[in-house]
Amino acid sequence: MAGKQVIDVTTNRRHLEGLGTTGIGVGLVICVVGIILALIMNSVAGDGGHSEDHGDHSAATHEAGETHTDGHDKDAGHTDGHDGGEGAGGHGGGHGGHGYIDQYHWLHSYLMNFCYFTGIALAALFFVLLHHLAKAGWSTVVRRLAEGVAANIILMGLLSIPLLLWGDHVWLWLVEGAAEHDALLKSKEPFLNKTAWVVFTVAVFGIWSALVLVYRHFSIRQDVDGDVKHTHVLQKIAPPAMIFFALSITFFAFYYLMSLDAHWFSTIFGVLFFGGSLMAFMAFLTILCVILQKQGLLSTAITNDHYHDMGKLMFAFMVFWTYCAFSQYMLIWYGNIPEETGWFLLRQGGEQSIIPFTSDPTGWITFSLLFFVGHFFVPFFCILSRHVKRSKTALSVGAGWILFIHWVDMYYLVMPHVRSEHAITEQILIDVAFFLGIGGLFVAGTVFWLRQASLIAEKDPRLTESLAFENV
Amino acid sequence: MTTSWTEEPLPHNTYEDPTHRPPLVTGGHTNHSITERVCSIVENPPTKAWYVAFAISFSVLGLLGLMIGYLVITGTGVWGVNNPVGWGYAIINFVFWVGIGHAGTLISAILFLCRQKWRTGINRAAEAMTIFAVICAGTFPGIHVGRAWFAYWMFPLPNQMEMWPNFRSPLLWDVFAVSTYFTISLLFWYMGMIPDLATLRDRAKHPLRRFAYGLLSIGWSGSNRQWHVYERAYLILAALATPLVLSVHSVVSFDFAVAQLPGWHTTILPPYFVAGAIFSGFAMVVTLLVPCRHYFNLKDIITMRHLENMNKVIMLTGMIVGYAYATEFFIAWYGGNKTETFAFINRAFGPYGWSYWIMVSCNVISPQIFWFKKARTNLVIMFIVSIFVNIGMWFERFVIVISSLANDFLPSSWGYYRPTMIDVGTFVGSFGLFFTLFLLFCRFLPFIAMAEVKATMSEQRHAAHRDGHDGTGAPAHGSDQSAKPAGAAV
Amino acid sequence: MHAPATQPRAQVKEAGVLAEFDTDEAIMEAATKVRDAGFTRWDCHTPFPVHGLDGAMGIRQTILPWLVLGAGLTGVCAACLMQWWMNAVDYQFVVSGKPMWSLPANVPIMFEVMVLFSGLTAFGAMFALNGLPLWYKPQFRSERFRRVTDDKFFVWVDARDPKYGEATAFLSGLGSNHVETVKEVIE
Repeated sequence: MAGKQVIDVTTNRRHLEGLGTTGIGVGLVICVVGIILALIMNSVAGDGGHSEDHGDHSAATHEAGETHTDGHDKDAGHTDGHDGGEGAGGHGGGHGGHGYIDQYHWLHSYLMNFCYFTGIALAALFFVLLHHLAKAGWSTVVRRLAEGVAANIILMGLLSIPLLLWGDHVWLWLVEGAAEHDALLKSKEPFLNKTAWVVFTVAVFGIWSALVLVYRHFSIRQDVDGDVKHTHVLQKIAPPAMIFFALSITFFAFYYLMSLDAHWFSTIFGVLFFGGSLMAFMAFLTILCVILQKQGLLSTAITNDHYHDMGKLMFAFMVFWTYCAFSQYMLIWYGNIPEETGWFLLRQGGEQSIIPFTSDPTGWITFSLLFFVGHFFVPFFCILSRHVKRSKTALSVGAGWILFIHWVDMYYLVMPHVRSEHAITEQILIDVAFFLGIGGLFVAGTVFWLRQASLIAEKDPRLTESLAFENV
Repeated sequence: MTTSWTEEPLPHNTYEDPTHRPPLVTGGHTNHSITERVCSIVENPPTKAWYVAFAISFSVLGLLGLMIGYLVITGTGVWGVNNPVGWGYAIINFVFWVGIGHAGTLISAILFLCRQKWRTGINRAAEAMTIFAVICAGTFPGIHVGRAWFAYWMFPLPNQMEMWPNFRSPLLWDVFAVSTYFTISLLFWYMGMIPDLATLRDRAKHPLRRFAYGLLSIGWSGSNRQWHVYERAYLILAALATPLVLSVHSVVSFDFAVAQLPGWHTTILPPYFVAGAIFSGFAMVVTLLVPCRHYFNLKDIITMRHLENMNKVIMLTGMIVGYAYATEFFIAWYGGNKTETFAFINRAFGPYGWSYWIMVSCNVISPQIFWFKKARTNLVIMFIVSIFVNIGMWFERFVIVISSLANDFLPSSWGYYRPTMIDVGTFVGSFGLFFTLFLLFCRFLPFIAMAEVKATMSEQRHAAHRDGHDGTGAPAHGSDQSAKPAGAAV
Repeated sequence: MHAPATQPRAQVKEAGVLAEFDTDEAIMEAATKVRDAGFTRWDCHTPFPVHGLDGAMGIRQTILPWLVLGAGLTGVCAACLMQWWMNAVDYQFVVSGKPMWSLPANVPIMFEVMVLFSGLTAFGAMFALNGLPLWYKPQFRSERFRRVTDDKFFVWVDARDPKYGEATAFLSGLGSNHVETVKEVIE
């Protein structure tokens, strides 16, 4: 009652209009810059790499398989002294010894950034589904933006093609005949085989895209006719869609990230990927809102109260990610079973050094520690206070950090499986190049979808509630 | 009250209309009639039904006393635990009760943070249930240590042996987690109750009651300067209780997951246990509230919409639990570890297969009926499902504990666990403790968070005013509502 | 001018004035006016926390969150120190091949103690900052004030307020349905 006055959304600018073209242009320019950078770096870094041929590749696989099946540590990929802990780790180590600098070395960078942006788009889809599932009120003002981000699923589906084509340079289990020499891969063949993987990818991207299009379609239809029944329909689809989402994102994470070390497994892995992605999406959404408002769009519709809630969710999922990551680490550390510890040994190798990357190039320990500090302690103290969450500037700084650290998370998941003797500066530039390349397309895609309709769900029955929302 | 507990006057407030939020209090209540309705539970003399229920619960509590007495005099040999199953009923019951004890704090804290206003009708009773369930839970580790009089060794207290507890043991984490959880839940519960205790104080006729409620309500006068600090403190307690509630059952799961035993050692166990705890806790809340709302004439405050929402949460958490079962099975196969694969196949088709299928049918299959709105709003069905879930969640712990221990790495040491009558008696007795405490709570403390319900009503009235609807669906005057059938005004 | 003392040593004096309102809207309006009229020692009493009343009364944000943050950090450090000293220094023994000082294994207890300290502080600080428990308040002498925990809303102006002289007249003009002067006996 004391609250703010009723906001009239019609006084806000709600269409991108000319800005849309600019936005797409900027996105494409960033993308081109990324591609050019990638090409340059590829020719520089690729010098020593071409001498290694394909045969080496399968030899590494072979070796990894042996180390596992006979249970001995033949592959001295690590300095850690845990007896027998190298079975699964040796897999990554064997690969890392040769891998990054062949002509397809950019695929790991590509994969990492692909997973980064796919995760964000998926989390946007989750946000939309959750909005309908929970019949949420406050998020109505930002839901159209989330729908726009989610629609990038279609783009990400297209971007999965290079991985489908050249995946055998990333996932060793995809290499022809890999399972012949590896009893574990053999036992996993019903899941880890090319056909299943391609069918899975096509199917989930297809269904995700269909879901996004359905949600956007009815949402935009409602802008015109204001019919409440659209809301009913979307609410009806939400529960089964959510079930599909939970299962599909889990197996997406299993296929695309966990199976980089095909010997390693962790039941919580899917949940972990989901938590991190949702956190990153909340940061992305926050920054998107800030940028739009800077351009004079939705200037009074999105208020500090909405930012406060986005900040809370960002914070909550940061903590959730930490909780899952700690559970995974602590349980594996405590159990200390060889087939599980390898994955972490790979990330704990080397000597500790205060400056990252300066010690042993295969040494990930410093990186891992800094990563954890950056993923928990920094954002924890950064966005704990409600004053920060209610300030656009402060919250965008926090959100920017979150986006960065989630990128580091993807780096942490993918790169230990390839890093080797080459200088880190060259490699990190390729990672950045692909970040720009895919990120530019992602931005262009977001703007592409956003400019097709109003930026706000104009006639959503809960829009009044959302506009009047106050965060106590 | 002429209707039976299974009947619900129609139409109720479960309709879906996105243009406005349905009322959370029906029956055209005013602030005063809420006070009257809730306080009457405490102020009127107890009914015959209450005495009967109390007599039964108290006798069952007596059974618990006998069982514990016998155990303490004789030793843990009276239980069915032996090699290879060294953890039997005691840990199953502990996890079962701790799990139930999660719903209260979840409702009060997490739903509070998510601004789910419907929590106000049910949070008080759920929090009370939480505290009593944690008391039941705490009993079991206490007696499980064998020499129960040395239970204080679990705490880091200086002693003449100059020994300290082993902080690397998850069992000690449990001690800290459960006692912290109990403390914080108690504070949270009590703090939420202060304004309502003041209401009871101001209405009390008998000087003794006046004194008792006066003492407990610490001179609360509804001062807004105090409300301001109070609300901040309540919000912070909620923000602390939320990760706490997650941590407690995670720590309980660590008891199992840090071990290398197949079937226990899996990384998804912490969130999976948390979901299971919420699941079983909500089921217990439904089990308790369906009869209570009838006998205490609270159908206007704990409305069908509240129950429907809880059923949705049960369905959701049931599916999360199902997700965890499935992931575990998948990874048990995918991991390629023969023992692990065996442990899971053995769970489903081995000597304890029967318990596994009880678990799956109760936890995963039975809540699926809630896809249908007819079932979600049917009191008989929801009561039965909630009982099923309680049973299923007990068996989940049974499956995890027993099947993994009985058939571990070494086939020559396999065995089959059978509980003794003392085991069963202790378990049954713990229900006596639980219900005795709960009945006392109903009798002497405010069953509904009146102040919060009133605040919610006020908020809904203002929101409706903003949207141009008549949100309460009823005139905001007149104080005698007790004769009106619930929902008549919707 | 007020009621004479009934006992030789006891003295009756005015403690303040109470104005009763029926709805939360009414008290919001009244509170805004009382604040704007420049009263300083006054309060509102309501059966439930009225949304927006803090602003209407001009109450400053409490420092409680900062106290809780401090307590939480203390808890983490205390738990960390305790576990380090007890297991890695004072009483060392090897369990399951873990190092004496095993940080991952110490995190759960650090977390729990952090929550315990913070929660106790939030609870204790609520009492301390509110001056609770305080079983006596002059307001309780009013029979009508008993409904403050039921459905009535009150504005209270304390007799120690510098502008107390005009309080009764001012409150009567706010549309209150009952304005009453509360007296207390001072011995």
